[in-house]
This record gives sequence, structure tokens and C-alpha cells, in this order.
Amino acid sequence: MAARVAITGMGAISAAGNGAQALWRAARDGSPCISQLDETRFPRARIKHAALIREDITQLLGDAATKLDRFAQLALLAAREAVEQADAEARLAGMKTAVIVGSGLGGAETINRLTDAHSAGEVRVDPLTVPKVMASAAASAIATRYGVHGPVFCISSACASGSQAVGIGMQMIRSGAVDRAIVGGSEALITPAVLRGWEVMRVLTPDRNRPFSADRNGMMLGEGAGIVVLESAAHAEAQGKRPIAWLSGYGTACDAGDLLKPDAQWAAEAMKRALSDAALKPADVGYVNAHGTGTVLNDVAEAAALGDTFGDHLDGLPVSSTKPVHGHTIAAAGAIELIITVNALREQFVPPTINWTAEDPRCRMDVVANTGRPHGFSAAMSNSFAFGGINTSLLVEMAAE
Amino acid sequence: MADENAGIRETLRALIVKESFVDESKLVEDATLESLSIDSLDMSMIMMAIEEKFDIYLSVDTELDGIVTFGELVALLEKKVSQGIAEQPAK
Repeated sequence: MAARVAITGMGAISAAGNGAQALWRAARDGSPCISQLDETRFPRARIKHAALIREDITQLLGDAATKLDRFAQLALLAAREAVEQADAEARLAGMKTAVIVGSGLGGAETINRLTDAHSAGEVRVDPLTVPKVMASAAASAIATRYGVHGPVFCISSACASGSQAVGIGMQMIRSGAVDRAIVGGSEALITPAVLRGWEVMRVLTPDRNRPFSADRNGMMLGEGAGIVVLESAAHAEAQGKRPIAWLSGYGTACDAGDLLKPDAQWAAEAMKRALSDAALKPADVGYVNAHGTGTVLNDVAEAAALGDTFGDHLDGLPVSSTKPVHGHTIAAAGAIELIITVNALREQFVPPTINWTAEDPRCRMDVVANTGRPHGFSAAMSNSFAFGGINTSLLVEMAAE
Repeated sequence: MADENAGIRETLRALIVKESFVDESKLVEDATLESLSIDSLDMSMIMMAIEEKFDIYLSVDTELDGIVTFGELVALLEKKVSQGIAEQPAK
């Protein structure tokens, strides 16, 4: 029988601040963490806001921050918190640990500095540009820090990266390939040029991110990292570690269709596969943390896919998007939102979808509008859907105290 | 006011032809965007051209999502552009 997989540590850095608890508090209380973009750095920006991290990362990390792009710094910080919580440092070294960290654009800040310097005709550019930019730099930094010699790699599947990294880590533990895995995602791509790339896709809201609301008009970018430590039940038990929650299901399915326009059928397939992987019935799920970007197309497709997956059970099922609080953190989204989902499960409290004004008949469900509430449940789902048609769902279950 | 909008309408029409490579003779009011092969990428190009021409940023919204015909598209863009011009701060 495949090993049961425990989450034994969680770490996050986001616009809500440094730490998984800061993230959870903001999500639970529906406190948006939005910053105005600096006019000096973003003079031509049409979109004026994002969910930016305000902490000084290099100060938080100290010497470990050198030689790393911002996205890898964030991942290392989140890993540090997760490993501390799991009290796992002493058992990470060696071949039986994996590090799998999702990244969408890799070292966007470093690329931005390189192209600025190059365009200005400067000879002197950062000599570490290439190793800072590579999308696997975050995974390598974590492996180096903890002496991990097992499978170390990056998953890059846009907004599904973090979720897929968690799912693959779980599968590797189940298969016996490794005993534990440090998994998650990281993204820091809000640079002037990259922001322009997002602007021309017309998917960013110029005012307020309001998923599933009738008048929604786009998503809000964020930055951050979410990292969790996964361990086989036997290894966690041997260390006397009680699971924070069980990671029990992972499903992924690709639209294999339009690059940008989501297809509800395959989002539903990912959810159904996660359920079947966890041997759960739709009625067993008591909360869904939605991908819920707040774009017209995502929310309609996701609501249809939820209807397909959960049927009548959707009527009483709370489904919320916490993205208006912490922004869409792209490759980190799956991990950051998994951490919120686990906290929701542990505290038996469903976080709200804030900024919601009116029902869209195409997204008719309990979106936990504007105010979170206590709710009894024992299993929860977290969804991530990406450009390129890549859909993923993760399922977590309550671990007995 | 009406004349001003006629100018915007003509500009929008020309801009749609240029950005989405459609045959101008097929641009009748009730032609569907699908029949004209105007897809999401063409729409992005059209909105980028509007930004260049009028200095107005349009995001996706539910109104644009519901557009079916060329006539509806021009009418909506005309409304957005004329609103945008009216709301622009004096330079």
C-alpha cells in the first residue's frame, strides 16, 4: 500500500507579510494586502496596484540572500519557516529527500536589470545573471541549504506550478522514491516590463479584484512563495511528528485546446481525479479554495467545472477565492493557497471572497461573500488552473489531534 | 458630439481592419466576430492599437465578453473610447 503523506511544516511569504500565519490571518479576516506601484519605477504602468511584499527580504535572509534573485530568496525564506515547523533540518540531508519548487518566470528582476543595463550600453552586468535567472535556482538554493542530494528540480507550468510541485512530491513519497519532500512554488515577476506583458493581455483589473462577482473585471498580480514539508506517515511518526494535515489527493488534466481560454471539462477532470486519488466522494469535501482569479473567463469555467464535479453537493459547499487578499502569485499560488486551505481546515473556518458585489448567474454558488465564517468539515480542495490549459487540484484531510 | 463620435467610429473601423486582417468588404454590422475570424489575440491587438491611438487602457470586462457581432463591438468600443476621452485629465 502506498505511503500516506503528511504535511509536517508550512512556510509562506506574501504581501500579507513574512510567515504562514500572517498569510492565514489576512485571508481569514479578508484584509487585502495591496500596494500602489511606485510611480518612479513604474512611470508608464496602466495598472497602478499589486500585492507586493513590503518586507526587506535581504535583511530577513542575511548572507543567504546574496547570489539569489528575489524569487529564490522568497522560496528560501518560506522553506526556512516550513523546515523549522517540521523540525526536519536534521533529517533532510541525503538522497531520500526531494526538493521541487515551482517557478513561472524564474529570475524576472535579474533579467529586468540585465536588459536595462544592456540597452543602456553598459559593459558591466551582473556576472551571476544566468544562475540567478534559471527557474531551478530556488530549488537548488533550498537543496544547498539543507544538503539535499535526492531529486531536486523545478516545475514550470505557469499558475499550476506550485500545485503540481506539491502533487509530484506526494507521488514520489507514495512510490517510495523519497521519504520526504520540500515542495511549493515561488514567484516575483512584478517588474515594469513584465507588468506591461500582463497589461496587454487585458486580464488585470484596473480597480478591484472581485472573483465570481457579476462586475468582476480582472485579476490582481501578487508575489510570494509557499513551501510545505511533506513526509511519509511512517517517517513523520518515527520522528514523533504529528501531521498538520494529510495531503491525500492530487489530480491534473490538460485542456489540450486554447492557449488562454479555459475548458471547464478538463478542470472538472482534474478535480475528479484528485477525489478518486484520495478515495473521497464529492460529498466528503467541505470547502474549496478556488483558483478564482476574477477574470470573466476563469470564473465562469471554474464554476461550471465545480458544478460538474460536485453536482447537488455544490449547493451547500463553500467555495472562496482568497486572491483579492494576497494577489495572484502565479507559480506560488498553488502552494500559498494550499497553506490557506490547510489553515481553514484546522481552524474550521472558511475564509471569504472579498470585494464581492453581486451574483453572476454563471457563478451561482456559495462564494462566502465578503465575510468568513466557522464551518465544520474534514476535507478540502485547492484548485489551480494555468494558461496552456493545465489544471490541477489538491485535496487535504484533517489529521486527528 | 455626434460628429465627434463618427470620427471615432471611422478610426475604430480602420483600426480593426488593420489589426485583425479582416476583409473590409465583409465588415457589415451583423457579421459575427467568429465569421470574421476575430479571435482573442486580435482583440488584444485591437485594444493595444486603441491605447496607442487614444491613450486609453481598456481591460477585459463582462461587456466585452458578451459581444457577438462587429456592430456590437464597434458600438461598445466607441462608447468606451468617448468615455475615456472625456475622463482623461488635461495634459
